Amino acid sequence: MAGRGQARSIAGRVTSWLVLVVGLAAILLLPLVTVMESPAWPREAEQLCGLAREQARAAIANGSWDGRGMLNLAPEELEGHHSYLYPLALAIGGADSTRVRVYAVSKADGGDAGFLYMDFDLQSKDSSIERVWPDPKLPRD
Amino acid sequence: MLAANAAMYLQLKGVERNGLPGSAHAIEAHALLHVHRDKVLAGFGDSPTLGRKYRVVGDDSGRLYHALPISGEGASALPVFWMELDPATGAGTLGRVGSEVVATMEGGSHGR
Repeated sequence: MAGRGQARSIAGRVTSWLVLVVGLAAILLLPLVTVMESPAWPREAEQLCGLAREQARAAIANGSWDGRGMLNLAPEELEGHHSYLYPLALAIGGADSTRVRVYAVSKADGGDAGFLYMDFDLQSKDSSIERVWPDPKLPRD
Repeated sequence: MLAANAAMYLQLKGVERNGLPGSAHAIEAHALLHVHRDKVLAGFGDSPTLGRKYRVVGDDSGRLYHALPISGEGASALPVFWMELDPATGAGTLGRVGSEVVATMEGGSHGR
C-alpha cells in the first residue's frame, strides 16, 4: 500500500517537472518562432493589387476609363485582413504610356509593416511589385 | 503553471511588438506621401490625397508637403510628417516633424 503511494508521489513529481520543463521550453522557443514567421501582409497586399489591376483592365474594357489620369477603385475590394488598397489607380509614364500604378498599405500595428505598389501594363501581362519597408528610425505614433 | 507560461509568452510578445518600429499610422502617412509624390509627377499634385488617418497638403512652392491628422482622436492642424520634393524629378526626402530624415526618394519623371 505504502509502495503504491510512493509510486504515485514519484509519478506526480515527474509530471510536475515535465510540465515545468515543457513550459520553460515554450517560453524560450515561442518568441523565436514568432520572430522567424514572415509577416502576412505583403502576400495579401499583392493579391489586393492584383484585384485592382483586374478592376482597371475591366474599366478599360467597358469604356469607363481611358487609361489616363486616375481611376477611383471600388471600395468593396479595398479591404484585407492585414492590408488595404489605397483607392486609386494612377496612370504613370506619360501620355503614350499604358503603365498604371496601384498601392496597398499594411494595417499591421507595428511589426514588419510597410506598403507596396504594383506597376502593370494595361495591354500586356507585364507587372512588377516594389515593397517599401519604412526606415527603422520612423517613430511610432 | 501553463497559464503562467501563456501569460509570460503574451508578455514577451507584447514587448517584442512594442519594441519594433513603425505603427500602422506612421506607415499610412509614409505611403500617402509616396502616393502624392507619384501624383505630382503625373501632373495631379493639386488633387487631394486622403488616407484613413492623414491627409496630404502642400505649400505654394510645390516642393514641401505635410501629412496632417484628419478626423477622430488626435486630429490636429499640426503636421506630423513632411516631404520635400523636386516636382520635376520626384527626388526628395521625407521625415517626421521634429525628427531626422527617415526616407529618401530617387528621381524619375512619370510625365503626364
